[in-house]
Amino acid sequence: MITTLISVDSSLASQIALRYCCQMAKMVSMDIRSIHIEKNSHGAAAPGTGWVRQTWESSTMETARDEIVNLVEALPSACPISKVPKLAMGDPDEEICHELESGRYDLFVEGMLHNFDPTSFCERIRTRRFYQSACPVLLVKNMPAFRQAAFLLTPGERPGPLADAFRKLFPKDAMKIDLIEVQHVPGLATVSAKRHRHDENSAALADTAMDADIAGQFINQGWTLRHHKQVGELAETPVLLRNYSLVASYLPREFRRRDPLLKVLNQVPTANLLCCSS
Amino acid sequence: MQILVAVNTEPYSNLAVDQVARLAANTNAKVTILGIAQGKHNRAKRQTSLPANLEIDDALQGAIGEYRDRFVGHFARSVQMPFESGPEAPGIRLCMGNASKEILSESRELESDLIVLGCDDANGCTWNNAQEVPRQIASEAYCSVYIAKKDTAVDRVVCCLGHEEISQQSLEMVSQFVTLYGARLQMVGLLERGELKSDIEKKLGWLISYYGTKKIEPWVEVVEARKFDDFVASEARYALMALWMGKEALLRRIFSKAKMSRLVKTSESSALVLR
Repeated sequence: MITTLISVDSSLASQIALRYCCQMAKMVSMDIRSIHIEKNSHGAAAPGTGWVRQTWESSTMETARDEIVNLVEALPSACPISKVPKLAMGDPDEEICHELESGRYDLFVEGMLHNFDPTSFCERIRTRRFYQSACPVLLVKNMPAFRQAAFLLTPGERPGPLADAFRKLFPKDAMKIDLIEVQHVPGLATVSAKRHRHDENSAALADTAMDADIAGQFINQGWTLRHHKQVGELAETPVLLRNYSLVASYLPREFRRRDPLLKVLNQVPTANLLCCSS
Repeated sequence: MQILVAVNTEPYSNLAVDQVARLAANTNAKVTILGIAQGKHNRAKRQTSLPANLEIDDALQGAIGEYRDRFVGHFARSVQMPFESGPEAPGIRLCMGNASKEILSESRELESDLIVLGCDDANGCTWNNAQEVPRQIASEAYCSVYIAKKDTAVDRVVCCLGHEEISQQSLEMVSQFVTLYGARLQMVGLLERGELKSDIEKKLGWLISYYGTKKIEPWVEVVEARKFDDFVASEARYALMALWMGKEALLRRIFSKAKMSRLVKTSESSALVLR
């Protein structure tokens, strides 16, 4: 049973994330609990103090709860999600981190609309609820059919912990898995994908897979993503990544805006499964 | 749905006729083939049959007959017969003169919902070698326009939405093109200063539900308005770009006629302008 916490509001991104979870629950046994954090409105937006403030806050929370209850009621009845969300007012990072620590969750889910520009993606995964999460984080962007997943690694990264996290969430035969290595070539600005035949995969990639004892088990095929300066090949990375219902990777250790890994992760149109590397 | 397919004697007109026939196979579309001869403006038209007294060169007359047979032939081969009584023969109109003016004028007269035309995509999407007819039609038509090119690897229909008013006809057209290409549908919402307007967000949600009932699961992507040109340049290679250009549309403001012309000219895949 995967105990899942999903952060929801009335946005389209949340609706898609909820539907993704319900679809996922058809594959694995899940207990989905929703949480909504109403941002603390210290300052200009907060009307008055004392009773006025309290009345405004409870009215705001009630409206939010009703909106979310309506969203949940629109989901298939078989979806194992709590009908009433957990509500709190405050800082979303703080409240969600606290809930994740105290609730022993296996997975945290959040929705985000797929954005052509990587800035908002970078900002999102820099939040504390992502990089301090006690469990893997699933960032849902679109609703795909669950067919194929990929592990996206940089040279030297071991897929072991990622594979362990993945195994805990999905049954062995749930999806085919590709292994994608992102290579960094300094000085080249854009990113492209180059497909290699299975027998042409880099030795490092094969070794990494072998080390983790997953090569023969469920790795489907290997790819290498390289940074390339030919703009004409720019579209190939998105084309490759579009094939996957989910791309799993470690959360980047550094958040440089122009980090090519972040660019590649942003180009995943379906869902990113993000785990801490240690 | 009224579809006007504009043709001349060039091979790319075959492609336009084929695409229209495939579209008509799944809809109750009424199709008119408009043959345009080069020459002085001398309008004279007759529907459903070839004109007897019109001074149109033999090549065009022959080609029009072939296009009609080609269109009807699609229905004969089709497993799904759209009409109980068999395919409705396309109406035929012929004219001479400025192709752009004739097509636009004819589409207004027929109250067309969609204008379809092919183009020489090896030569910058031209019509009769030098004219820029497809670009003018895409920019100036009052109804939707489909510029048919030899699509190689279209895997998505990318619909760009900058306003909430969408005609039922255009919704249906998108659905037909998704079926036609066997492609994924991707809905794109435009951001203004990082924000997706709530009416656009609601419309995207509504579109997901609408196409969900047709067993189509659209994906959603958002693009900052100022980066829309980059987005189009990167997507037009693999996708049929469908742009909703309403009168008040944000797209109309940020995607000028010149940019539209460039898209039609440079895109490797077909282009669909929805109105």
